[in-house]
Formats: sequence, C-alpha cells, structure tokens
Amino acid sequence: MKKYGWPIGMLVLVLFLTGCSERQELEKQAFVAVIGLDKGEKEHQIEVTFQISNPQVNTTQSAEAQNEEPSNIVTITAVDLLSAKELVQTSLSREITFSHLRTIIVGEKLAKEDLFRHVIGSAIIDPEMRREAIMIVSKEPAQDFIHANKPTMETRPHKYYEFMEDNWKNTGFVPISNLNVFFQRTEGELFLAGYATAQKDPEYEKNDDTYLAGEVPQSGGDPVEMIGSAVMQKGRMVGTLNGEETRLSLLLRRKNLLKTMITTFPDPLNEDYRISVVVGQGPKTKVKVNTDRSPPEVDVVVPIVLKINSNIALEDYTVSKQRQEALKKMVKTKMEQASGELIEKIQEEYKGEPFVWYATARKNFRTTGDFERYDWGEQFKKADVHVSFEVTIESFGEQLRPPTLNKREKDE
Amino acid sequence: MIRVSDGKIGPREFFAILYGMMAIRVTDATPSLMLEDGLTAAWMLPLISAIVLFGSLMFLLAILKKYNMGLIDIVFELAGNGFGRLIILFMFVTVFSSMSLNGRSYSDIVITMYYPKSPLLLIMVALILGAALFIAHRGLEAIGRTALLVVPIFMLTSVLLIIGVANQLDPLFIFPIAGPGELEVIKGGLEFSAFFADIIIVGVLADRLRTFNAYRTASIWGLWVPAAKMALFLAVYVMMFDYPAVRNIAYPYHHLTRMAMVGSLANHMEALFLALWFVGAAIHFATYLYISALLLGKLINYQPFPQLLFPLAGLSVLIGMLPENPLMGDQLRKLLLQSSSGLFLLLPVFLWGIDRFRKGGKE
Amino acid sequence: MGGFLNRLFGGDEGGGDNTGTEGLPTSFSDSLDCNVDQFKAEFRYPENSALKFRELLIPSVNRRAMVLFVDGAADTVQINDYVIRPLLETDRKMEGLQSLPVEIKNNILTGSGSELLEGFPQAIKKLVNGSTIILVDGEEQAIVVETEGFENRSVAEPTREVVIKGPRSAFIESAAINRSLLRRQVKDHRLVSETMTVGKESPQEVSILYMAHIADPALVQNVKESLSKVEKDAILTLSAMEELIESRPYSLFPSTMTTERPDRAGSFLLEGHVVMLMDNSPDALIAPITFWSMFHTAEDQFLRWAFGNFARIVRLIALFLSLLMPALYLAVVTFHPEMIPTDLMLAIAASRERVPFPTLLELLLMEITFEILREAGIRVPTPLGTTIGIVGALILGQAAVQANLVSPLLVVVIAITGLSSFAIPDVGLSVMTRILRFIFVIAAHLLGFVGLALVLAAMLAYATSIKSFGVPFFSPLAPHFPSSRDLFLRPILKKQWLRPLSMSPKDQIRDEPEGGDGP
Repeated sequence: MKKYGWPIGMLVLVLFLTGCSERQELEKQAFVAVIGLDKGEKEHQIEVTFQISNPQVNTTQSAEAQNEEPSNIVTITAVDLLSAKELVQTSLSREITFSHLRTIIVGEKLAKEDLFRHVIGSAIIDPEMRREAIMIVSKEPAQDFIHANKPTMETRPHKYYEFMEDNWKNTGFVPISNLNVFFQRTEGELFLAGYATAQKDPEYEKNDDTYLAGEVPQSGGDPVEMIGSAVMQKGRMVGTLNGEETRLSLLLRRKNLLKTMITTFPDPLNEDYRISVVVGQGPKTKVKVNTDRSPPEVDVVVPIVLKINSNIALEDYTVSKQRQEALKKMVKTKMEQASGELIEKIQEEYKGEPFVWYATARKNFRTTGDFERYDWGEQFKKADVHVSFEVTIESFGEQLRPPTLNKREKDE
Repeated sequence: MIRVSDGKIGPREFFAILYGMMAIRVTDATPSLMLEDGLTAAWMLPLISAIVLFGSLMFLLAILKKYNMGLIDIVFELAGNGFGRLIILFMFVTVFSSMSLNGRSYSDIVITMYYPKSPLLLIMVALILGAALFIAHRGLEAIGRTALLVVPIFMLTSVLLIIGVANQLDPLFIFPIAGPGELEVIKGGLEFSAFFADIIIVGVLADRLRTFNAYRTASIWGLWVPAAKMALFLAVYVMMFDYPAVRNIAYPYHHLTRMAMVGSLANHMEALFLALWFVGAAIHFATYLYISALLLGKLINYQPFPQLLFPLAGLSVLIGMLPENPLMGDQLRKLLLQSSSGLFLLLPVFLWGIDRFRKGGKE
Repeated sequence: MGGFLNRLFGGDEGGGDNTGTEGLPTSFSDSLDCNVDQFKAEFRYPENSALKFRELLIPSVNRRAMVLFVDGAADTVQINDYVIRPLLETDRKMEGLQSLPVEIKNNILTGSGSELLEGFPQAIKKLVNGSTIILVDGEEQAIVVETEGFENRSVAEPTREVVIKGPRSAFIESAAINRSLLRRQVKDHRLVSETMTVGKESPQEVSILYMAHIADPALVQNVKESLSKVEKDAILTLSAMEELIESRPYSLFPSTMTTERPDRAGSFLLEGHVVMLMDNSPDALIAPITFWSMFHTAEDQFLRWAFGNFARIVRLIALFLSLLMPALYLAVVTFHPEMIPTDLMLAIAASRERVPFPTLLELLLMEITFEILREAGIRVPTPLGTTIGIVGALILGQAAVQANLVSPLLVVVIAITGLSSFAIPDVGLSVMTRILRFIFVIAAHLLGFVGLALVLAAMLAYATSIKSFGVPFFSPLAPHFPSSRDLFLRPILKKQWLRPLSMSPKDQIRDEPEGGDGP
C-alpha cells in the first residue's frame, strides 16, 4: 500500500486542484431542439434561430409550470453558428447546448446561396453538432417557420419532429436526410433535403402526391406542411422535387428507402375513377450501370408489390386474371412514365443524380483517380436510362369482392 | 501439475494483451492516416501489413523456439553486448515515444469529441499516471487477466456497433476497389506495418509465457484478429461516411458510435462506447508502460524495473504535452511509424541471419 | 497491544492471578489429595463453584477415587451412567499385568471415548471442554472420559442462504454436530478432519477438513501455516478467525468466505477447497475462494438448468447495478445528457429545477439515508421492524421528493441500487459493492464516464491480481484454466465433470464422461 500511496495521493490532488469544468447540472443547461438558419441582412451574416425546450412544460406533473411557453425561440444575427451560440448567452440564463439537437431548418433563401455551404461546413466542426441531425429546407425564412410551427398534439417541439420523421419512413413524401448523407454527397451528387412550409396555398387540381409543400389541399390541422424535397448540389439548393418525384427518387435507389406508400392510378376498367393502391417494397431493386460505352447506360429494374385496399370505382378485380393484368399494366406504364419524366428533368436541370447510382458506377472503376476523371455527373446528363417496374399484386383487401352497391343500382 | 500463480501467463491472456495493444487502434487517429493513403481501398492496408509482418513473425518464432528465452536476451546473445544494447535502446525509444504520442492522441480525442472544456493535462494524468500506472504496477499477470476479462466484451461491442450502424451502411461505397491504385496500396501497407509491429516487440515477453506453443498460437491469432478488425472497421468507415467525405473526419470510430442506434430506443450510446474504449485504453497504456519499463530496466541493468514505471509514466505525460496540437502529434506519430517500420520488419530477419552465420562458423 | 495491557494489569495484581497453565507441575503425583488440591487451586476453588467433585471408593480394589468435572460443560447424566455407576458396581478383580488406570479405562468404563493423561495442562483443557477426569489414589495417571454436555440448539434452517428448493439444515454452534452434518453430505473415507488449536490463553480447536485425494497438499499446508501463525489470546468465532488468516485484511476484496449450509461446504470440499469448522460458530470457513464462490448460490445447481442460469444472469445484472447505478446516473446527468431520451431528460431537468443541491450531494444524501436505513433495519429489535419499513418508505419515497430535497428519478435510482444490493448472495461481496459504489460515484463526479472507465479498469486489475491462498480471484476465467465452465452460467450437471484446475486438484476429473465430451 505504501508503494502506491504517493502516486495515488498526487493524482487525487491534481484531480481536485484542476477539477473538471465539463460537469454541468441538467437544469443549468438550455437544450436546443431546433435550429433555424437564415440569410442575414448584411453580406456574410446569418440569422440563427434557436428553439429551446422548456423543461417545465408538459414533462412531469410534479414540476409543471402552468403559464410558460413550451419553448423559447431566440434569433441571433452572427457570422456563424458558433458565434451565435455564444451571443445567445447574452439573453439566455442557461448554458446553451446542442446535445439534444435533432433538426436543422434552413430557409430557402439561404440554402440557395453559396454562403450556406460555408455555414454548414463550419458548423459540423463543432463536436456538439451531431451528424445524424435531420436537415429540412423551409420555403419561408426558417425563423418564420419555427415561430409558425405550433402543433396541437405535440407541444414539445422535439416530439413533433421525431414523430414526423417516423412518418416519412412510411409515406416517402419527404426523404430522411441527415447531415451525414449531406456530407457524403459533396462532390456533385444530388442530395435531397425535406421541404416544408407554413405558408399554405392549396391547389385542388392535382393528383394525390404531386404536391409541393404548401400546395396540399388541406384546411384546419397543424399550420405546417412537409412534402417534397429540396435538391442540393455541392452544398447549395438548386431546385425542388414534388412529393411524387421524391417518392420515385427514393424508389429508384438500389437500397429502397421507401417501405410502403399509398398512391393512386387511373382505374383501367373505369376511366372516371382512380384506384388507390398500397405500393410496397418487392425484392431488391436491381441497378446496372454500363460505363464502357458512351453515353453510359443505366438499367434499373424495380420490383414492387401492390395491395389494393381501396377501390373507388368498385370494380371487381378478384374474379378475372385479365383485369388484374390490366391493372398491373396500368401501374407499370404510369410508374415508368413518371420515372422517365423525372429522370429527364434531372438530366436536363442538374449535373448529377439523387439515386445513388454513382455508387454502382464506381464498381466499374479500378482506382478513385479513374472515377474522378470519368466525371459521372457530366456523363449522367447524356446517359441512356431504362427503368422498368415489375408489378405483382399481393392482396385485394379484406373483402373478396367490392360490395355490390353499384350492381343494385343497375338493377333498379 | 500446473501451478496457478507462477508469474507466467497463458495463451489466452497473451492474446488478450495483443488485442488490447493493437485492436484498439481502430478507435484512434490511425484509421484517418490509413484512409488518407488508402482511400476506398484502405481496408486492404492492415491486411497487407499483417502479411508482411507475418513473415517477420515467422523468423522471430524460429529464433524464439531455438533459444527459448525472451527477445532481449536473444538480442544480447546474438548481437553482442554493445550492439545489442543499441538495438534495445532503439526499441525502447520507439515504444516509449509511441506511448507518449498515443497518450496525447487519446486525450485529444476525449477533449475534442466529449469534454471540450476539460484541461488536457487532467485527462492525460488520469489515464497514464492514474489507471495505466496502477495496472502496470500490478504486474504482467494483472494486465493479462484484466485484458482477458474485457476483450470478449470489446469484441462483442464491436459487433454490436456494426449492427447498430448496419442499416446506414452502403457496401458499394468501398468501390473503386483499388482505391488510389494497387502500387499505392501495397506501398501504404508496407509503410503502416509498424502499426502491428507490436507483435515483434512483445517478443520481449516470450519468456513470461508458459510454453513456446502458447506463444506461437497467441501471437499468430494476436496478429490476424486485430488486423482483420482494423480492415473491417476501415471498410465500415468508408461505407458509412463515403469517400471522399471520410477523409475529412478526424476520429471516425467516435463518429460511428454517435451514429449507432440500438433499435430506435437508445440512439445516443456513444458515452457507453467511450467508457468501454477508455477501459481498453487504460490496459493499452499499461502494457506499453510495462514493456517500456522492462526494456529500460534491461538497458541500464536495473533489476527491480517496476520502480521505473512511475518515472516513465510521468515522463511520458510530459512528452505528450509537448506537441502544440493533435495534428502535430499525428505527424510525429506517422514519422515515427515510418522510421520504425523497417526496424521491426528486419530485426527478426537480422537476428535469424546472425544465428545462421554463427552456426555456419561453428561447424 | 491487548496482550501487553493484559500483562501490565496482570503484573499489578501481584502476579497471583496466573493466567494460563504455565506454573503447573506437568505431571500428576501419586497422592490423590495432592492432585485434587492442585485442581482446586487452578480453578480458584471455593470462590469459583465451577469445578465439581464426586469422591468414591472403588469397591473391588478398595481404593479411593475422585471424579472431577466442570459444571455446565459436562453432562451429569452421562457421568452417572457411564462413569460412576460402572465404577461402583464393578466386581471385577483388578489383577494381572495391566496397571489399574488402563484396566479401568478398558474394561470398566462404558463410555465410548476415554484415554489416559499424565499432565495437568491437558487435563485442565479436557475439563473445560466438558470431559470428566477420574483420579485414583496412588496412580500417577488420570483417566479422561468424554462426557461433553454443552447446551446446543437443534439443527435449524439457514437464515442467510435461504433456498426454495434444496436441503434445509444449517450449521449450528457445535463443531461436533457441524462435522457430523458435513460427514453426512460427503460420505467418503478420504474426508480428512485435522484439528489445530488456536489462541494462546483460552485455546479453541479448529477442525480443518479437506478431501485427501482432491485437495492440493500445498494448499492444505498453506492454510495450516496461516492458522499456526495466528497469535491472539483468544479467538471466539470463525468470523474473527477469518480476518486473522487473511493476507489482505485492509482490502475490500475478501479472500475467505463463510457458508452456513453443509451442502455448500460439501460441494466446496469436492472441488478441492479447505473447510474450517470451529466451536461456537454456526458456519464453515472456506478457503481459498474465488469471485465465483461468492457469486454462486447453492440453489443455482438445485434448480433446473434454465432457471438456475436465469437467476445467475439476474444476479449479475444486480451486481453491476449495485456497483455502478448511482455512478452511472451521476455521470449521465452531469456529463452526458445526450444519453437520456429527450423526454426523460426534460422531466429530470424540470424536477431538478427546484432541488437546491447539486446532483452529487443529492445522491450522497439519499445513498447515506438508505445505508442508515439498512443498518437500522438489522439492529432494530424485531417487534419494531415494521416501523423501519414505514419510516423508510415515507422518507425515501414521498416526503423527500415533496420537500424538494431530491428529484423523483433519484429515488428510483437509489431504490434500484438498494434492491440490487440485496440480490447479491454473499455478505463479503455485498459489503464490497456497497463501499466500492462510493468510489465509483466520486470517479463519476470527477470525470464522468472517463473516470468510471478508469476506476473500473483499475479495480479489475486489482481484482484479477489478488490471490486467496494462492488462487487468483477470477480464476479459472482470468487467468484461464480448464474447468467445467461453471462461471457466469453453469452447464448441465452431466457436463460438470472437470474440477477447476485453478485449484490444482490432485484428482482433476469428477467422473468419466460417457461420450468424448471435452472440457
């Protein structure tokens, strides 16, 4: 014991003398749930909005504060995120921390600027910034969006975004786009960030999923809508995709991110109506890229599985094979047509693609140098892309045939 | 009958020590160095290094089997007192400086990734003068047994970590397969072989194992398992962060633990990984400290070498504080590695050569 | 120090109070009266009424004899039946080659154990242990008859190591009965029972039991040596003995353990351990021990394989929680808030807003209250026991939270910790975790998870490097030795055919396995 006595004694002494300033009590910290980034009025300045959760609202019965807001929203104008974080301390009594930050909202105006690349690139250097934070682009300035976003059910802001993200996995209206993926695609590949708005401008003439945020025909409910995606290239927003295009771009990937989605097609048996089907993931999507020829050739086969859970025309599909074939064919042509349009649009407008086909293309090259010289983005612009869907119908819902309401009508 | 407490260690303990010395490198700045050189083919580098070192190890095993004593005694025996002392001095300098720089590097990781407001000295003192010194003081048996207790947990958590990030990985990201080109990869593999040179250094512990067979089995496993783990993790890093973004990430392991999710319930588990990693780090530095003291003890003919542990630990903290910032330390580290690679690759061959030559002379 | 004081005060009283048996003549004289007077002097006769005499005349040889015994130690009924009656009623002619005491011992006394003695010190030792001494006029030898009659309680159920399924007898305060309980478990002629005496002033006998064909002779020697090194005037119980033979009395990690279950002691014997028994101690001392001896319970082997292992997993979790839970909570809350799910984190933050103390103080306050409660629970007289429960539940559960002394989650943390510590089967292990817990709390307070990790690594290094009588604490896991792998989990009994080689057993195999099932 004597042998270790003095080293240990010294150690304890040093520990107590220097101390560790890392320790911080929970109640002395301000947990940021959402950050909003906007362009400042002056050049090279940004407005950073922090939405800070108030622990005393809606968390525990014993410490409920009745008349407080669920969150505190502060906007600071500064040159970057880190200095804003420091400046906010002038009005905030608690120490601000990003450890529970999950969502970053970027105003469309800032996202389209070159400045954004610098802002987000420098923000990630801060170890408190987590790479799994979700990025959303808002149509209006982010601070307006955050102020407007007061959902009824989830008074605590983090909960709202958490549940929304879970939703996206099922609907595919919005791509799940965290910062890690954003930083993966910095070399010209397209990155899709969620697109949201609180400004509603409903359009009633469209098909069910070709909306962009704000266009969904909805009244009442929460003030915020999230559908579609913002296309980012080299850290800059270059355009938008609507809900349908977003879904397709998720579907066309080798690693299909879309579990199931519900969409509508014209009913092949009754042109007046549309038929809603649940589109599910089939076996793995096959992507083949041929870079040996010029222009390169991309071959995509997407197997999808349909469930017919609604049938507004009340046509009976269960009885005849031909009717099913007609439905399959309709779905196939519509999907292929839509994806053809999407790919054409992307080839025309952007230099790159959001389908992660570049990863498949990389397989054909021996060294990274070869691939860089090939310049996939430029080559893709003129590539021949063939997309084909393989449709199978899995189920027809819980009834053997549609209720015979329409037949009775005819009888009478 | 086997005596339980004879001061010697068995093959499993020895393997665990080797694992603690080498496999932990996936967590520090080593992968960044390898990714910089190997790009998407970085995962091949450790395997190439291991193949090269395996050859060297075979020579070492041949000598160890013949002489049946520790590497230090063999060096003295074969290279003579003066030259042998020079070799031991060089080994000591390499091991000790690598420990000091690594200590700095590990503390830097903690400061950068987890405790940005803490003083660097505090972490270094707690790690090296605290836990590592204590463990090394308890002797080689303690190091081996502690390592044996925790190494299975490390292996398990590595697997869990990879499962935790599995759905965010894209296997196609490791293409183009040859990265910067085959030649570059092989060159890189040779350059980095010092990362696994511990396998040669631990020859100094050979006389502390119960049997030669135990040494052979443990050292062969102890070379390949960490190399395979390193290869696997390098591949995972590339699949996770994608080339070229992966080159910008300073400590990929710690980013990986941040991204890991155990289901949807517990997703911020990095502090647990931090704790496990630091247990490993304590054992890692204890081993290095012990070997440094052993080498220095032999070098200056000082028998009670455990008494050297404390001054050495103190000195290594002081040396570790010298580099201004982590990047400088990493550069020094790389320089050290490249210069020592040759030594450790060639030492067994050299000894083997002398042995042959002498034998020829005698006959 | 104690011995020195004794000597000092002994000297003050004029040296007349001769402790021990040092000033005695070693042998008997041939005068009965002389011998009896000597005994009287030794036992401070008229003041001390402990020594009883019964004078009688052996009719057949017409000689006076004296029967001596100590009141309370000897059983008077046995003396009547096996000593006095045969002596008085004998009509055997005492002639021939044998001496009179030998004749009486062999052919007259009907008791089962008797022997001849020639010196006072042994005779006095026998007397205080309950034997009866017969002195015959004109003979220089005394006959000792075993008539031990200490009051014993009957064999009862174990109180510390309770099982649901399995034998229910526990050791009691009599070494003889304990030995018999143990013999009943291990019916083997190679079960050796050696006796050693410890304590200089009031000697006590310690039985050392081991299996001659299994236990490592070096180990037995080691145990005997450490027993013989014990220097103490009196050792009343095995628990005191435990500390005296330990090599690291300051350490938190025990190197011996006690069990009150004969079946457990028996299973230790069969693995090559040494078991020590002593009068007045209702348990057996086991040496050497490993972590596993303390982690396992008797019931693990009695219950079905799956449930036995399930219980072990639960206990392992409990061990970790008991050791680390408060420290983990402290580290998470003050250093790593990102680990807590956001909702819970906000709830803790909200409830902590009104608590005036830092988390460390809050934690220590609760932890110490709990320890007081536990200590009070043991010391409190049984009729008051329920009070402790009510007061404890009130203090810990409701009032402290309502008074904003602690946050509600902390109460849960402390409750889980306390509960876990009760699930640890061995007292030594449980005490160890209770104290180590505070060290971990300090470490977590200083450096969060890094501090925890470093202390954990140092603790593991310490634990693996200590030895109990030459056996490493974590063997046969670390260092690895072939064994039946009855460690964290147990294999089915059929596969437990190999004794742990870390004990260096002479006979390594319990039973030849039927198939070629390797270890």
